[in-house]
Amino acid sequence: MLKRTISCALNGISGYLIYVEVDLGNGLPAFDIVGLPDSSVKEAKERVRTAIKNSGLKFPVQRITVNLAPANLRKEGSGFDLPIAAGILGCLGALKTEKISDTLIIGELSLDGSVRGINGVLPMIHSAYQNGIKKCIVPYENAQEAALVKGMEVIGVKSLCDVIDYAAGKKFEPFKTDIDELFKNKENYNIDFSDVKGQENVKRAIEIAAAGMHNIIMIGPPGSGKTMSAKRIATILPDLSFEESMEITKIYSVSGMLSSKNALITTRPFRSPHHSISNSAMVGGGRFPKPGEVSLAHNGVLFLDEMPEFKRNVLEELRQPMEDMEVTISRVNGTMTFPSNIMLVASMNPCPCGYYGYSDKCKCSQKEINKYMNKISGPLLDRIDIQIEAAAVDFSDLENNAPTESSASIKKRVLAAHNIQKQRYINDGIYFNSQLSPSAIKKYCRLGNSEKMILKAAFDKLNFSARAYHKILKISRTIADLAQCENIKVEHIAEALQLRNLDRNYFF
Amino acid sequence: MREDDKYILWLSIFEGLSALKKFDLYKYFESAKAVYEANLSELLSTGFLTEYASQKLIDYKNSNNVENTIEQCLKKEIEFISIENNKYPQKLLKISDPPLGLFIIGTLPDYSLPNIAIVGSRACSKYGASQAYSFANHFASNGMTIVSGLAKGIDAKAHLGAIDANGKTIAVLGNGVDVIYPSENIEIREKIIETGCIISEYAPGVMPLRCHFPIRNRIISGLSDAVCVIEATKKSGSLHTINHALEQGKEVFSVPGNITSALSIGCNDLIKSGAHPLTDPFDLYEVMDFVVKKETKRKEKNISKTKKNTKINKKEDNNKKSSKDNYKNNNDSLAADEKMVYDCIGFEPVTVEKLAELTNSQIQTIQYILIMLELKSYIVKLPGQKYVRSL
Repeated sequence: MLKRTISCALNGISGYLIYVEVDLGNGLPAFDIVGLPDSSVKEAKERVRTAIKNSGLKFPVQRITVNLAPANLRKEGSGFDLPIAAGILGCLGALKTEKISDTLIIGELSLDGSVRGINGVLPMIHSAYQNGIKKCIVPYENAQEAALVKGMEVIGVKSLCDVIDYAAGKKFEPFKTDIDELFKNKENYNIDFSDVKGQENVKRAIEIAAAGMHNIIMIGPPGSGKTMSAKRIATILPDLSFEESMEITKIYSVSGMLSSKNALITTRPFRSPHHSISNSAMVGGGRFPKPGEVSLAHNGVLFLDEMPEFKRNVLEELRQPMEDMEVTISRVNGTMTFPSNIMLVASMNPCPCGYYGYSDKCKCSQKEINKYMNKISGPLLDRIDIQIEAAAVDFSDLENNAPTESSASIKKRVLAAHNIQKQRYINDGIYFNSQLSPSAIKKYCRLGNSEKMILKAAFDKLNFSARAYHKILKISRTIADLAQCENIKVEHIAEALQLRNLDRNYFF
Repeated sequence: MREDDKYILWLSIFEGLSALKKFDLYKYFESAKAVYEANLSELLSTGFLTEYASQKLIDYKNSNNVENTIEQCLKKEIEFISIENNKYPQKLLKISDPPLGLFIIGTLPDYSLPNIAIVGSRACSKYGASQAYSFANHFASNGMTIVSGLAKGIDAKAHLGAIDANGKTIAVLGNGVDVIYPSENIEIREKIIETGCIISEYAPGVMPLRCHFPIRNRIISGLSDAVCVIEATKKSGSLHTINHALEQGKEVFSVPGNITSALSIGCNDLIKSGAHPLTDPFDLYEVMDFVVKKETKRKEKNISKTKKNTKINKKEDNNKKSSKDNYKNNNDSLAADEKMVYDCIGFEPVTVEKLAELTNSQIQTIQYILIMLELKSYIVKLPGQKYVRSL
């Protein structure tokens, strides 16, 4: 007697269908699972056996063989418990398989027969839907998340008995998620740029960074509000589109970071890993690769506080994900690709003690300062367009109750700049000024004579390195977009020059 | 090396006695050889040695330090000039505690020319750094030798000023001449050796100890005819040099600073207690007129001539001066908003935010004006988004 149920496994943030074939045959009683299961799948035997028994059903004393097809792919996770149990019950005749023959089943079983939630439901259901599956049975906890896939009929089950009832024809109300409602009710950020007193200079730099999606590094003494400003960057970035939201939610689903309450991530992620982070936690890894911080910050902000304190190899690993906007991780068990379109925001002190240039307290020697600065390699610094210094905050600024600009009004300008860029680059396959290639810079960043003059004067006089040239043009383009100017003007170049502080020798 | 010099070397690198006592011993016995041969009772009979120190000196005879040092000197091309050598700086002989010998890398400049010591804070301001550089540059381009201590800050800038004027400069160290300290000045050190010399009374290999620096300061002032302090805090080590200079009867010059600046308190105090204020190189020339000999008086006239020439010919020689002239001439050429921002920037560093607040304008306008002013050399950017007027 053979029955087949459909389930799903994950590869990165996409799923692929798995056919769970269960056969009951004569012979010595045994329970074997074949088809490259890893130990979490093998353990399904004991859960399935006990769950069936505790659901008040009889577990067959027969030779049971389970095959997870295709058999050449490794499977992990506890989501196969439910399809295996359904298959066994189907063979026994306790469950009518006709109704669920084209239904995707995923879920983990508890020993008492209830169904528990699993990770990665959204990407699995999404892939299954693309593969033509229209119905699915998922754990009740994950039903909200699964229902984000439009057109999928989602049945949330709480126990093994629910599955049997559903198969027997009992009515289950399919889950519906009102996406517009989710977006409307999205939790507002409880932080705002108006909380940051003073630091107009840094705020302006962040506005420019957000407008062109430039990466930014802030250099300043302790307590100058670098972290505070960075945390608020997400509040001036445009609202997430549904597609972006789905991408983020998929990643969070795979990482098990979704709660059943907020099935859809509607705010831009802000990830701030501690500097003791390891390589695989940063870019992703593990035996079955899981997304790292660069992917968790996808479509949002990755904030590296105290950047020179990070291990050098961790920082170097960021180079490729930042360039390609996705990260590919290869392990014995497979190669996986996660998206990593991030805006990198970093902060650092100017010297080991933190006060160089700001206070007489600093006793660091030039050598120590250089050593500290050299912890960030040239190639990485090359990917950071804006380098701004944050000065220490005056007491008068903190006491100052004058209204400061709110995130909402900054966001308006940023949005306008984004729209200009989108239209301009409609044929170039890019979205933002930060993605401009040198040839595109030539095309879109044309300078007049007076603009060329000031750029030349700046290079002659202010010790800019050659590396700065393209960066300054890109930033100028963004500043011009913010000002809604068609052409880059002198004042845009001048302001861009002020945002490349590390290129200038005055700092060292 | 003369036989006598070896004895002098032996005594000069003995670490158990101060330079003054070593010199007194040398004077008392009339030669270092006699000191070497003296027994305990003879040493004690001098009256200024304790029994402990005398015993140490006698024990020290057995060490092979002299051979080691000579070998090191040969290997590293270090010259030892004893107090009996006629190359020994005559100016140093006039102080109460001259070193018995000097270790030198490079060539000692001609002693007939006046030497000017330029000293000051290691943690100097932009103002101090630029003044040290331009005074040193001016003096050196008029044939004077700049003496300083190769520390970071004012010292380094003074040496650089002299080097850039193709003048001569001497660095007096508080460690062995072969020990590279501080490491960031290694390039300056190489350049000094090309045109001048680095000297030390400490044997090769001696590490820079804290206590060495006040002692070497007497050599800086002793080698010089005048000592200029550029920037000094209230308790600055540069004031040690000034004390030595006063004891040795040298002229003391002090560059006045902002009365609110902690880095200028020492300098301003010196002026209050009678040091010559130094606001122009000619302040020094006029005073030195009374001190230095007739020949230099003639030279002084030449100086004023060369000064006029430098104005026209050597632009880089006096960058600061020309920009000052620029300021006087072109200040009107600034646009109204540029002038407004410029007026808010003084000689004390001021942040961009403060400027925006003072002028009541937006940060992007300020940044634009600042870069224009910077390109026109009116202001200088400092770490921490701060600006000062350029000098």
